[in-house]
Amino acid sequence: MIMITVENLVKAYKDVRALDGLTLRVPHGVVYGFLGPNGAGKSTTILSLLGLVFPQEGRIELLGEEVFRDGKFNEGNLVKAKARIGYMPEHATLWEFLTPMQTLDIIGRAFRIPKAEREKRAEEILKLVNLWEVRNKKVGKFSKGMRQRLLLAQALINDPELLILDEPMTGLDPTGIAEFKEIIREQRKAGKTVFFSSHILAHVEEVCDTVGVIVKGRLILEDSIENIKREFLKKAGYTIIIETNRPVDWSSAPWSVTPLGENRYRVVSPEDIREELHDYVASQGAKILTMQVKEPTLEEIFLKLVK
Amino acid sequence: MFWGFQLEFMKGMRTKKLWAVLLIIIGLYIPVFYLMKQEDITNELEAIAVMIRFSSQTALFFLGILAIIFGAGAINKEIEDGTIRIALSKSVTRLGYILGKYSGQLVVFGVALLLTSFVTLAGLQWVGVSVSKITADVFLLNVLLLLTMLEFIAIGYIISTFVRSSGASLGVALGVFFILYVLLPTVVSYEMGKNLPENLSMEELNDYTANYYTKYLFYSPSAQFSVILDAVNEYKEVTKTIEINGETHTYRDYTAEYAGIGRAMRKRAVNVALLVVMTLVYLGIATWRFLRMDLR
Repeated sequence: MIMITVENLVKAYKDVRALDGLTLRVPHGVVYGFLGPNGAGKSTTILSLLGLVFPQEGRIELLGEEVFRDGKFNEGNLVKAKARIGYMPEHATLWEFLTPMQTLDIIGRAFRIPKAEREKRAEEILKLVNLWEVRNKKVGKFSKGMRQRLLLAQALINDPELLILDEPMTGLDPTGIAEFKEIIREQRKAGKTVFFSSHILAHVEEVCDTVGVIVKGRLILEDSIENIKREFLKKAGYTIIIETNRPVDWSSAPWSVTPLGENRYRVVSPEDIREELHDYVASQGAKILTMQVKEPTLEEIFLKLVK
Repeated sequence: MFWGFQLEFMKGMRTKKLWAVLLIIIGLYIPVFYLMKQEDITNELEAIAVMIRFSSQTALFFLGILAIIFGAGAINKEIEDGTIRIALSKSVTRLGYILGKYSGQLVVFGVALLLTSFVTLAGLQWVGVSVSKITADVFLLNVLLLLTMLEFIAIGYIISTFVRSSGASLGVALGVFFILYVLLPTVVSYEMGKNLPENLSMEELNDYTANYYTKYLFYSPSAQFSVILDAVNEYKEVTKTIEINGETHTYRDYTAEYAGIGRAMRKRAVNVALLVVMTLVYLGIATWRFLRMDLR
């Protein structure tokens, strides 16, 4: 099942085209990292999915319900779809005069969850996000990190099939970030789909299966992280670091080789030449002791794409 | 709609809204009761006349400002805080949310004014006034005040949906309040004075003013409130004589007889209806805008 389908979505704010024919598909059960530089259209995309901003053109389908077409939202389908979605916004405060228990209770009411179930869910979730100890403390007294945890908690109250997280780890300390990542992984294990926007690429790389990169309102790349790296290596070339048991003469080698120290070399080639490299070194009467293919980080790929 | 109501009602009861309304009213009433005691006003009709005068001036002014300010921050402040994005990402419609929110504020103001009625009755009893005959009027006075407040809140909602910044909307709200409460009624009264026919009786003058205010100030809640309360008295014409330099002259005079707020509301039913209809119109405009606005 496709959880999110966006086709040719256009959204302009006065003279700025925030979304310029955006098309993307998020299949069921994946953690989808939605990447892009500031102002690329990430938040506008998420707000459009939830009917919080009005795109001018295109089509949106959420969990099989067509919610937007030809400049109009279908309010009935949107409400139906939202019942199965959890959303954690970027830069939001919760109602400061409420406690976490009261917050989850009032949000649970929006989904018409029965009282006993609301209480049970609230307890489970507050324990999951480590807020159970402060369940009766006013949100107004919470630190930034605690507020972020509560924002995640409110997104989970309806046990959503699709979790939409907008820059969820902003303002969290390293422990908080690790816990957040664990929660995301658990959601995936439970068969949930997570749509996760971020500009912190290390986080995306660790938790996401699939990545979409949006630049100037258009999706310029969408694939699994593995495929993206493979494709990137094909285009940018392979960098292989080897260590041999004795010096090697590289004068007849067809690749660019840079010595890095005693019997250590960096070999750069447009293709994967690991086998050929073994043969070449052997032909020189030497042996490869260690070989390391330097993988590009998502950050390197992203920077290259954005440029 | 019910969820929006629950949320707003909870906010109203847990934040300072309800208490702010109550404290303002009580803070204003205490000196009035004190003065009544000083003046030894124990007649119930005199007492209710003082309360009406007070309501149509001081209470209306302060509560009107409070109501328009509450309304003017209703939507844009939530956009700034991000709470509206959380609320509307749930299984609720925009229409249900705004109507629920407005209903929540209606109930909060209603509760505040209901408590005010009790405070008023307690205060009057403390002064020494027998309240049994005027209890209904005290409640009706607060119902009228509530209708006026609700119209101000609805005007505030329009401001809140058109002005993105909650800080700026506060300034706009105060400006709009000044225009509706002071400027336009002054202009209309001035124009009315220029065209005023001669030899009108008090009742005719009241009706003439009411017609003018109905025609040219139908959109101003405070003007409609005043027009309605102007009809609480029934004026009876009496012919009086006076002797000047040995000559007897006769002239027309009027005696005001308190006829009750119920009578005033019946006589000015059009103005009461205007308070309700214009509230719906303002709320309709705010809702129309809210259903189309980007909540980012």
